Amino acid sequence: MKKLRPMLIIIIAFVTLLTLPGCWSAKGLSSLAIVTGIGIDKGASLDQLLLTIQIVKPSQAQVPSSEGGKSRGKAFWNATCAGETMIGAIREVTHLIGKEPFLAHSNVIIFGNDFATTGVKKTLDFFLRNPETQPTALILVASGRAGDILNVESEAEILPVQNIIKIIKGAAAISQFKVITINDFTNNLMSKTTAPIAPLVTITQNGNRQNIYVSGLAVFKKDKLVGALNDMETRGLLWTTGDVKKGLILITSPEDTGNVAFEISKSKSKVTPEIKDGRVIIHIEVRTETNLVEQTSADKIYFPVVALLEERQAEVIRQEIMAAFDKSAELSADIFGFGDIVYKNFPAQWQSLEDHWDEVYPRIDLVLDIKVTMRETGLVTQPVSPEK
Amino acid sequence: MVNGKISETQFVMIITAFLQGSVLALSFNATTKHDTWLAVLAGFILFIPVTLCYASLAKRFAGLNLMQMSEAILGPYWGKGISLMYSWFFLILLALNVRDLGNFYTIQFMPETPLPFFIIVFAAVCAYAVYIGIEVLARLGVFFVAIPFIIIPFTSLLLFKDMSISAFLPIFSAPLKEFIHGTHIITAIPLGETIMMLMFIPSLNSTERITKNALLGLFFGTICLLAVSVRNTAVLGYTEYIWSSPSLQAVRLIDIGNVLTRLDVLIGIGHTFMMFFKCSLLYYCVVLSLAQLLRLKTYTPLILPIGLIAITLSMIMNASTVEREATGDAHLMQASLFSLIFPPVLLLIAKLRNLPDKRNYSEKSN
Repeated sequence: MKKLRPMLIIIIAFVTLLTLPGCWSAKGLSSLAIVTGIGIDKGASLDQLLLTIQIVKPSQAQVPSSEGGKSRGKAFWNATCAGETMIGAIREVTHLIGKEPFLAHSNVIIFGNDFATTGVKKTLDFFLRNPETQPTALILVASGRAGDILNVESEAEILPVQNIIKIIKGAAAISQFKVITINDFTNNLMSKTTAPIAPLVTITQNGNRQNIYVSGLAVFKKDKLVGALNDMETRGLLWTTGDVKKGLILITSPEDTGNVAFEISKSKSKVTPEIKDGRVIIHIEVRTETNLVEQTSADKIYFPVVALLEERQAEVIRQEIMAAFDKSAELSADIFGFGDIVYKNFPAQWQSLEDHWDEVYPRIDLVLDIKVTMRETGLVTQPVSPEK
Repeated sequence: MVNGKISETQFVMIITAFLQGSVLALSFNATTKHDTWLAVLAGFILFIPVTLCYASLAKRFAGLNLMQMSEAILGPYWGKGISLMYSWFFLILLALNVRDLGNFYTIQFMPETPLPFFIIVFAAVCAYAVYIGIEVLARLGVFFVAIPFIIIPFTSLLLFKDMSISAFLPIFSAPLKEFIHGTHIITAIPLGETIMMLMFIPSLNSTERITKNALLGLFFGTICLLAVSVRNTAVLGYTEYIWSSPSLQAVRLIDIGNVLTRLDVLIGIGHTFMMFFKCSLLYYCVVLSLAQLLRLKTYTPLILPIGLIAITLSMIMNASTVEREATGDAHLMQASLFSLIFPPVLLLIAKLRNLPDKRNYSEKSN
């Protein structure tokens, strides 16, 4: 027995070495159809989904060599599949190319306009339940068909989806809209009152070329698309939620002879609810710091006009917030999440408000307290004009 | 028969690591939702007297484990009956936990791999750990305790920007009935399972400061439970209770500059380590208790058969995760019986019968 022991260990080691390494569900790159983005449109009948699935062609997606990549053809392929369920439609891909769709890199989900108005909830379950999909995938709403958006090629990126991701992340940095992931969207959807939002993407025609343009936010009620916010209204929403990071505020110069542009350097907000005599009052406090970056007039920016400039900027912010609120009141969609804020702070009074929140919401009194502080004025201190 | 010496620090670590086994990936958010952290606190406070009762039993019958205690308190027949029931309970816990780990893999990471594969491989490692003995496990405890104490703060830090305090509002919104239910789950399932500590009493160096040590272990374990439930609620908000593993879902949201993403694997690894520790301890409890019932000199011959029974049991006990959820309340009642009701009753009877008889006892331990 003593002598057998080393032999036994060696045999066991060999058996384990031969059986355990490697993965059960190992998938080679060549057998996978890597899905980068999914566009969801309404199919022929009401229940049917029409998916546009963007699949990478790994051989074409390599960085083009010196002779240029143009001649090599597209690095992606958009498969169009129909089905009653998401999984059913996606599996259709296998029928077309014999490869298994791999969803771990599907970073963009686009809802077509027609589909979004009929309700998107039925597709979300798939993305949340599947272990391959990521909860950080971006959600977008197309102004037209989602499939068309995925077809727009870009000069800068090999894949249309990569281009869309870049645009979204870049423009969100200048507070044009908010990055919405599946997780954010679901969270809003599961709230009793908050209306989910998602960036709105359109196609612009520039001569022969089509370009992707992302601007504004689509507004959902429950899970149905009901309207959209324009750029101004979008920033109004972002001021309140404290999501403004950067961006420009344009006002007229102190003597109204031109324009002055300010770059936002910092902004924070605080929302406090109040219930008085059965009326809901929301106090919104915004504190912003800006830097002067450009002026088109020759007005002197000196200390006495600072207060005026700050007040004019505050007025811009005030108008944007009111525009956003008026739009949401018109749609009676609580994009600000005021319902949640009231519920969280006044759970007792909420009971009576919950049922008719749709009627209460448009009649909320907003009390705005906005303060803008001007900090720097750039490299010049005097107006650029001939001495008088 | 029980040849192992566990120091006081190791004892604390065993309890903490055992509790942490339930923490990293599993969660108890389903009933109490965003009030879970309150349920954890309430459960902890309610469990303190139960721990005191365990410690008091251990002190009274120093040198005896749970099986020997029940026999000393209730006499050979009733005592053996209770011992047999405890063996069964530990076996059920072992099977449940092994199944949980297997399901964790098949649901979250490798849906195409058959469940038995994970369960058998995992149980084999646990069997080896039990074979080499409790002393080795106790020494490993110090290392295992560190894992959650690194992973939890690390993930919380990376998720800090996604947290919102308003997710906890309004405080105490869960209906009282559900809050009690949630607290009951916390008390009986993760905390109550520490009844297994009574199986190690003979291996301890000293039982003098056992009250303090048991409470300390409980405290560290609860801190992890609390930290995880606070992190999950703050990060996930309204969706926290829909996930099979909220922790994993929260960590999936980590996205630091597109580079540091998909850290759920980190939780997966940590969870596997902690479950290994927990399952090995439960495995040890099953074989030790049965060995004592059967009056064996050593428990090693039981390791293989018990392992096979546990694997089979874990495979057949629930057909699906839905069934598992549906039988949750039945398990809750069973767990309450063994961890919350029997020990105080045993202590009460011991007090009434004035056990242990000092003379008799000193003879026995010599």
